[in-house]
Amino acid sequence: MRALKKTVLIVEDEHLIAMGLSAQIEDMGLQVCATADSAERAVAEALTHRPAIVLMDVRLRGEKDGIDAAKAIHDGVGSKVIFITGSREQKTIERIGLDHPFATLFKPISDRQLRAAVNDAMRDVDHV
Amino acid sequence: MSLYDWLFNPSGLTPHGFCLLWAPGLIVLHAVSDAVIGLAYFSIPWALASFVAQRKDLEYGWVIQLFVAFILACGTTHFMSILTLWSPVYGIEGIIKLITAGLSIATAVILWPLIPKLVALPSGSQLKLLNSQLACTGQEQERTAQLLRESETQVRKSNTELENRVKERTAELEAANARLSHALEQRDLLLREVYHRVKNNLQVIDSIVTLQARRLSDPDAQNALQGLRRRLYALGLVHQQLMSSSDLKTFDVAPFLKELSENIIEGIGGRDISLSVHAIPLDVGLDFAIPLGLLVTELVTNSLKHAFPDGNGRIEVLLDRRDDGTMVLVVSDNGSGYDILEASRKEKAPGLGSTLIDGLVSQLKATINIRRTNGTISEVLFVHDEAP
Repeated sequence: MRALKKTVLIVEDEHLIAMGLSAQIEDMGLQVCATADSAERAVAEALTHRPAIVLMDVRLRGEKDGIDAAKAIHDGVGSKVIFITGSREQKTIERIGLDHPFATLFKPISDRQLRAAVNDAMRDVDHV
Repeated sequence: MSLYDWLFNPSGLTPHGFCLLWAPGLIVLHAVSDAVIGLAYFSIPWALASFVAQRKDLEYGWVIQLFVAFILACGTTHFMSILTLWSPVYGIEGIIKLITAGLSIATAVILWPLIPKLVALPSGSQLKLLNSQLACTGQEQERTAQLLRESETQVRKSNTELENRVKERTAELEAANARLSHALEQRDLLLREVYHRVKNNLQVIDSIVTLQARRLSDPDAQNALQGLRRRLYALGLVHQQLMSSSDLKTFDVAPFLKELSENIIEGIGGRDISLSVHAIPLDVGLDFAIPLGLLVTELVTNSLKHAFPDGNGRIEVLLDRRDDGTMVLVVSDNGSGYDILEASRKEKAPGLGSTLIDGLVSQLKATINIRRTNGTISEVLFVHDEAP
């Protein structure tokens, strides 16, 4: 498997939230490789950019959701997936749990939570 | 004279006809009368014996047998009277009379004590009456049985009807229950969706504020926007807690206050601040949690901004219930001591923080008391009714 790049892919169907997350990631000194608003786009961008980290919303445009996309990205690219979800429903959380998530954050996410999760994930990538 | 001769050898005695001087009229009269009596006396016991023989069920049948013997004996004495008209067999006649006497006296003696018992025997008419009464009772019983059978049928019919109605009602209730469950599920789904939308919108606003802050160079303006983000976070966190609660109405305040306070301290980063949050378990609803969350946000922010010029210190958040039921929220620090309300009174235009604290205290119908002893202690007293 080819090496991952120290970039972040943001998957979020609300474009303003995606832009806010991008700003927060850039403020941490990291680079955002792309943003995607559907599961298909997310998988395509991940295959193209091979990001170390994917910030993944659960609800996305189209039939498939973030959990489907995360599985494909985990299997095909190996990026660390940090879920950002508005849902706290047991069903969703259980499905996420089956999907090798690196972390799961619940909206509203604070700068602190995001920073901590991204830093941990990046450290993990560095160790590989 | 031997006993045998005395009985069977009457020579020397005269026949009874002799006493009648052999008058043909008298002889004939006695002979015919005794013959008729004797025949009648033989006929009566025959009839009685035949009656007893045919009625095997007779009580005291032996008394009739005794009558039979007694009357037969009487009849025999009349035939002996005829015989003695011509032959003087008075010994044999005497023996037969003796037998008759024995039978008569035995019958007479036995009969008297038997009378009450015989009287007690039910007569035919009594039996008939009893029988008819019995027949009446039987008919009565048959009617009762008929009535019973009819009511049994009625009861069985009513029972079946009742069972059917219960079945129908149960089915209706089950259907209503299913509709209600469905409506409840729909309600929960809708509530979750609403909370989800609210949170998403807050996240959108937060993103806009973040993007705006990056474009500003003025530190005061940037700080103001960071303050706005902290308040938005408090609102969002309330909805996040509500969405994960089982009843979608209330949640435990303790983890909420901890998460909220930690976020503020981390947000105004770059300092070495220790935080402790202690709250009693308390289920709170939206109406109470929002002003409380915002108030804690202001008070903790205030300590962070003013208490620690050298960048390290300790902040404590405490929520407790006093013995009289009053709730008390305490936010304290071990910093340099700063009373935001007093400071704002000294200035001409009060700051946003103190204005918000005033408003939130009013909203909670609370009183606030800020003391400066070894740091700042803000104490808020209020009444909290348990969420229904």
